Amino acid sequence: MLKGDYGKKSFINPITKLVLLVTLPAFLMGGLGGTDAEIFTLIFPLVSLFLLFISKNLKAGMVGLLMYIAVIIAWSVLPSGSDGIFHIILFIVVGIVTGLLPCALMSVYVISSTTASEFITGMKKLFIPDVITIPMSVIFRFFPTVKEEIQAINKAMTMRGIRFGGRNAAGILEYRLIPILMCSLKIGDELSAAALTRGLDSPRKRTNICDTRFRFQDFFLLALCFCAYLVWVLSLFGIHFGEVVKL
Amino acid sequence: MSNQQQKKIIGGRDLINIGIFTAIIFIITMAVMPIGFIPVLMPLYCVIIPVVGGIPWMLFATKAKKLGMVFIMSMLLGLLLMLTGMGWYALPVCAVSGIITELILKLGAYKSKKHTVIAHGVFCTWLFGSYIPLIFMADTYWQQNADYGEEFISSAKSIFQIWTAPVLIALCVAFGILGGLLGLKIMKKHFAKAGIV
Amino acid sequence: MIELKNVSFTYLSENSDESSAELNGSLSNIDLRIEKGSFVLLTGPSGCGKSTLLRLINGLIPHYYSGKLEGEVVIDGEPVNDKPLCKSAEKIGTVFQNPRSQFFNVDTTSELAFLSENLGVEAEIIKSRIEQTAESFQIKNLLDRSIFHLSDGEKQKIACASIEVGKPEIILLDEPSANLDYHATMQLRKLIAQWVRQGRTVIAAEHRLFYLWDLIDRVVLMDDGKIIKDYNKNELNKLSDNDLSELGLRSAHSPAPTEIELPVVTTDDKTLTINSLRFGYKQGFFNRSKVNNNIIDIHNMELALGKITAITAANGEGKTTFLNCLCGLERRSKDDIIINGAPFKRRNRLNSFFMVMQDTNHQLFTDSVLEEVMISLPEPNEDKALKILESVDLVCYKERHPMALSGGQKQRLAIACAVASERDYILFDEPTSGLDYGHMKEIAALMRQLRNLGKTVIIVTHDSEFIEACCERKVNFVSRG
Repeated sequence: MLKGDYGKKSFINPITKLVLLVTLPAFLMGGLGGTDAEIFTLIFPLVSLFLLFISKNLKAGMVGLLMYIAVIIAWSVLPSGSDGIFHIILFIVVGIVTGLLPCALMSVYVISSTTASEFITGMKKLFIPDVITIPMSVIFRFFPTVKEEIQAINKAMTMRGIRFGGRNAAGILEYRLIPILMCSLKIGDELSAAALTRGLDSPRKRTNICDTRFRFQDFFLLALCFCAYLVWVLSLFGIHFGEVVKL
Repeated sequence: MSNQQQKKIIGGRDLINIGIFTAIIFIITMAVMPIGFIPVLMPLYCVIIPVVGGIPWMLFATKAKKLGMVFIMSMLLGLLLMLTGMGWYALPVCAVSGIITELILKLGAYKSKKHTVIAHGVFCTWLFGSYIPLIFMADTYWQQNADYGEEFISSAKSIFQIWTAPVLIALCVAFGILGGLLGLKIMKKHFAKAGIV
Repeated sequence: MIELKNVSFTYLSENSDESSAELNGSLSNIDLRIEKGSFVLLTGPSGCGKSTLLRLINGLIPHYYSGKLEGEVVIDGEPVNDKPLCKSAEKIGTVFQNPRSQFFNVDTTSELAFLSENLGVEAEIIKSRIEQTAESFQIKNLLDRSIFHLSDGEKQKIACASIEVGKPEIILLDEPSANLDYHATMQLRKLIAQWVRQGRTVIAAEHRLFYLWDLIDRVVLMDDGKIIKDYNKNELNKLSDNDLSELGLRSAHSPAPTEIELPVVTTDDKTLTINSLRFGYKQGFFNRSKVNNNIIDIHNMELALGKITAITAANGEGKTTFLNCLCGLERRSKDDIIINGAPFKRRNRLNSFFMVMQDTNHQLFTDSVLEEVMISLPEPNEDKALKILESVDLVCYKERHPMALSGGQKQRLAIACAVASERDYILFDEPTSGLDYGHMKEIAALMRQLRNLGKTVIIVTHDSEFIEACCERKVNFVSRG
C-alpha cells in the first residue's frame, strides 16, 4: 500500500473517494441488490481501474487490468458446468478478481492519492466524529510503519540465524510479535507526544488546506453510486431493475 | 497526576493508542484472512485471531482506562471489516460486542485482570460479523456465489447452518479467553519485566 | 522569557506506586532563566535530565508524562502547568529525536499544515506560510511526498519546517541530529542558524556540539538532574576540546568524517576484496515512481582483515543497504567478493557476518540479557555466556529484560551477541548515534577488544570523534563508483 508519491491535486473530492470506498465492497463483495445490480458489478471495477490510471499509479492499474482481462478470457473460453477441483479453483480465482480485486484497487487508489488533511476533511463533511476519524488516520499512518518494523525484525532474525524458530510455533510468534509490539508502543508514545505539541487536542474548529470543491467527475461518480443504491432499495420493494429495463 | 487522567475524557493520546492497537489487531486479522477463501476453514478465524490477538489486547487494556476506548476500537474494526467487503452486518455486531466488553471492563473498574481476560472473550465476537451473510442469508449468499460448484456449496452449507452461530460465538469467547490468558502470561514475561507497563 | 523556579520532577509510570519511581531523567531544584532571543544548548551525559527540562517547557510535563512535579515553569509571565498543551503549541515548537515517530501524517504537505490546521488558522494563510517555508528552507522538492520515502535527514528537515509553518516564538530541539549523518547534520545546522538569525528563542538538548558550537549563546551543563555549570559566550570561547572531554562532553570542532586521514589498507594487510557489488531496484516501466536512492554499484573495494575499518560517506545514501548486501541479507545483490583468493558466496557470508543494527530494538528478542547471549552461541553454554557478558560489563544485568536497558547498554548487549555468535566479521551501522561522550568511549574500547579477539570490524559511521578514537582503516564510500 501507499505506493508512489502524491500528485499536486486529486482528480476527485475526498468525499467522493470515501463514498466509493464504502460503495464498492457493498456491491462487489457484499452482493447488495443481487442480480438487479449486476450491471454495477461491471461498471465499478472499470471505475477503480480508471482512477488508478488517471492518478498515474500504472503498476497497480496494469496488474489489475491484466488480471481482469485474463479472467474474462478464461471465463469465456473454458467450458462451464463441470464440477472438478480445477473448476472450483477457477471460480475462486474469478471471485477474487471480480470481487476483491477492484475493491483492493480502489483502496490502493484512495490511500495513495488522499492526504491525511483531505481524509480528515472528508470524514468531517460526512459527519463522522473525531473519535473515529483520528484513530482511522493513525491506522493508515501505522500500516506502513508496522511493515517497516516487520522487515527490520525479519532481517535481524535471518542475520542472527535464529535457531529457536524450529523449536515451536509459539516461539516464532513470541519472538516476532513481541518486538513489533514493543517498537509500536514506543513509536505510539512518541507519536502522541509529537502530535500533542502540534495542537492535536485543540478545541478550536479545525481548518484545512485541501480543495474540497465538487467537480463534474465527482457529481458523475456520486450519481453512479446513488443509482446503485437506488436499484438495491427498489429491489427490496420488489421492483426489479432488470425487468424494468426489459419492459 | 496529570489533568488528562483526572478528567477521564478521551483525548488525543488515547485516540492515537486506539488507532495503533486497532491497526495491529487488524493486521493480524488480515494475515489470517486468506484461509477464508476455502470456506470450510473459515471457522478457524474464531480460533486463531482470538488467541493471537490476546497479546495486543492485554497491552491495550493497560492503556484503555477510560470509558469508550474499547467501544471505539470495536467500531473501527467493524468499519474496517466493512471496507474490506464483509458487508454492513459487522457494524451492529461490533457495536453490541463493544458495549458488552466495555461493561465488563467497567465492572472490573478497568483494573481487574480477570475482567480484562473475560472481556477479551466477549470482544472477540466482533469476528462473528463476517459470518452473518453465510449463516443467516445463506440462500441469497450461495445464489450469488452459485459458481462455486454444487458439491462445494453443499459441504459449505452443511457447515454454516443456524446452529453454527452459537458454536462460532462460543469459539470466539472460549479462544478469546484463552488468548487473554496467553496475553497475561506474555505481559508478565516481557512487558512487565521490561518495565513498559 | 522562560523561567524555571526551583523545579523538581520525578517520572512515575502509570501503574506503579511511588517506591518504583524512575530516577533516570528526573530533575531536582532547577533554577533557570532563559532570555528571549537567545540560543541555549543543554548538554550532559545520557539520563542527566536535559530532555525532561525541554518537556517541562513545552508542557508535555505535566500534561503528557506524569510524575511528581514541584516548583513552577513560567513562560512570558504565564505558568505552563495550568495551560493546556494546545495553548503551548501556539508558542512553542518542538523537533524530536526520532525521525520515524514524530509525524502524524503520511504525506509531507499535510504534516506541514497539521499544526496550523489544528489551531484553526485560515487555509489561505497556511498555504502561503507553507510556500514561504518551503522557499526559505529549500524543501520545495520534498512537498507532496510520502514520509515513508524520505531519508532520515529529509524527515528532520520536514520536522523543522512543520514547526516553522506555525511561526513559534520558542523552538525546542531534542537531540535532532541523533540519527543524522554528517551531511544531513550540516543541513540541519543551516535551518537552526536561520532561526537564530531571526532572533527566536532556541533551546537544544544535544550531545553533538560541533555543528552548533559557533551559534550558541550559552551552554547549560547538566548531570544527574542538576545544573552543574552555566557558560556564557565568552567562557565558551575559552574552552578547548580537552576541557570539554574532561567535562565528559563531545568535541566542539569535529572534522567531516571524510576528511580524517587513515589508510584504506596497508601493504601488510590481508584483505577481503569486493571486485564488484551491484544492487538496485530495476528501473522498469512500472517502477518509474519509485525513488531510487538505494542503488549501489561498487568496484574494487578492499577491506582489511583483522582491523577496525570505518566506512564513511559524504552523504548517507545507501550505506545501510551496502551493509545488508555485504553480510548477505539482500538476495538480489549481484556481487563478486573474494576472500583468501576464493569467492565468498552470499550463503557463506550470512553465516560469517554479524551485524549490529542502528536500531538495536529490532534485534533483541528474548526476555533476559543472558538468554539473548545464549541463543547467539552455536551451542548453549551458560559459563561461556556469562564470560562474554562480563567482558561487556553487563553481568549484573543478566536477568534484566533487554528492553529495560539504556541505549548504550543495548548496544553493548548486541556486541555481546556478536561475540557469542563466534563469527569472524562484525558489522556496525552507526553504533554511536545518540550516545554521549562516555558511552562513545566505552563502545570504542569494545571495538578494540573485538579486534584483539581477531575479528574484522567494519563500522559505518559519521562520528568523527569515534573514528579518531578507535578506527585504524577508513574507506570513503561512494554508492556509485
